[in-house]
Amino acid sequence: MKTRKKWLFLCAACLSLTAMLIYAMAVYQPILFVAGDHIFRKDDWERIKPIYFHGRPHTPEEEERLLEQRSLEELVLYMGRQMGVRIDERIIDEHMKQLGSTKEEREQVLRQMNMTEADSVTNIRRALIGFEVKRRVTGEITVSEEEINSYYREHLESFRIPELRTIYYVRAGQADKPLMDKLKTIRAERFPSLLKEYDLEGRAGFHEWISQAELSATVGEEAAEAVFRSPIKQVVGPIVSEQWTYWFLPDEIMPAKTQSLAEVREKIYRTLYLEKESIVYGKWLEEQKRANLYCLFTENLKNNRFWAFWSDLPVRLQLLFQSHA
Amino acid sequence: MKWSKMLAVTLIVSSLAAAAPAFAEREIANEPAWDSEPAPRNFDPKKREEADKRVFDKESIRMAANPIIVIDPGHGGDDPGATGNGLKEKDLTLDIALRTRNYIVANYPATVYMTRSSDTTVSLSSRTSFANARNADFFVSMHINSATNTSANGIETYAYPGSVNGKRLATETYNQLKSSFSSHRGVKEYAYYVLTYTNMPATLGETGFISNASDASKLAQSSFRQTLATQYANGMHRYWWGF
Repeated sequence: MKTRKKWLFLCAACLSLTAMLIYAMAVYQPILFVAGDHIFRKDDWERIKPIYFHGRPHTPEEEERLLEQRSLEELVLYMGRQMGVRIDERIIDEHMKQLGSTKEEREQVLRQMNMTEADSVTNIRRALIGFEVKRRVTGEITVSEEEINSYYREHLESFRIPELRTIYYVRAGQADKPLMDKLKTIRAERFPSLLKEYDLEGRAGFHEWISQAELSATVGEEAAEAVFRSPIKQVVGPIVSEQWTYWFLPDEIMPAKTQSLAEVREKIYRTLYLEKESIVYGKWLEEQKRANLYCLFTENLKNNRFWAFWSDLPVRLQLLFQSHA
Repeated sequence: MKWSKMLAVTLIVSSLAAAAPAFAEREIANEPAWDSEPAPRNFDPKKREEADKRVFDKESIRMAANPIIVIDPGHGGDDPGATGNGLKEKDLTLDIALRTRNYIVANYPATVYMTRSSDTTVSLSSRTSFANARNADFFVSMHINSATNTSANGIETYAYPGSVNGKRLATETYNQLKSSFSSHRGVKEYAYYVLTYTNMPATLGETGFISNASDASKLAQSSFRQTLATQYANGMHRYWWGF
């Protein structure tokens, strides 16, 4: 009896071992990340990967970066559930109207991105929860007048704007004698019509509110200096720059100035607010990674099933005990 | 006998560990359902019906669906921007911008405005005042580069000098877009009009050179423009979410 029992145990053990090995080699899906109660496996990633890459080639680093992004999104969603964040479906319905007023219009737009309306609704719901979590975490941030004033004083140089000009130009290649002859007698009022005539061939153009430094990068220092020295509505040229001969028409001037605090107050406020928001949210996210079960296994993108089965064992045991705790 | 018992126990525990995800993963969040408690005394089905019928005003949608993004397709109408290799900058920027807008709207609860959504002339001051009036959270201006030297190619993005968040936005979009180009010209600072006169963090992207045959042939393909649009959107996502 004793020997029979022993053999029975041995057979059961061998069968279990074989079944487990078959499972590990043929069925097991390696874990890519765990975020709170969410386990994300390789087959989940293969299913959603086309949304990220649209079939285009990508590097392993890019894939790892997107996987990490997805894992952090899941952690935020997990925290959203813990916080009791709920999303009103009517907000999603309203939002979807941006893609088209009818279902057919929306489906047509989404089809171009290999997406269905259901995919889109899921993604928007996820992001809405994420935004709500962020809003709750960063809701207490304030920016004082003193902070705005001191930022303005310390960054005054950033608020200096050089003189800007709106400039038309026409140009002829060195071998283009007919156009060169035509442009020799060009008058200011002819520039807008020449722009229409020659823009497609790259022989005429227009710079709206451009600085001297910016123009220099395009046509060279000498030409830019001449254009910025000239009064407006006067033809400047011919000026040779590389393989082109240019005629310019400065049309409007916006004098150099330093923006006042009143003009840039809103910009400074947003800069400081976003800076603080980014710090507070980043810190909170790091805390959540430590406080909740968060593990990322990017190496499992390359590992085979069998190897991943064993390397994932500690986290699987951790999950097992956590789910029964 | 002892060793076989040990082996059996180990195998059972391992098998359970392999099955652990089945216990841990849930299709539905583990939160109280409607039938877990009786309805509170102040529950009034009529009031709920009224609330359900309430029309969401634009403001409440705006608050829920943030951020507000203004996408600016460079040039347009009478201003073709750069031209070359049979392409016009104004057409390419509009196409990439519309694709970016669609991708964002399909995936994130953002409110996206465009400074132009057709081939119309829009002045620079109209573009910036449009973004400022909408109280946008950030502004992305899309352009295609051009140079007299036809070998110049690749990607660069710009931020307003000294703007911390503008630089971050420019860097995030650049990091995504650079995989579409072999020449990486960097994240630069420059006081372009649209970067100077917008109230919010802003960036200007120059995705390829229209004057370069290789960049132009890629830009002529709709699949490439879709890739650029997805990359722009992912960059904005990383900027706003922080990851």
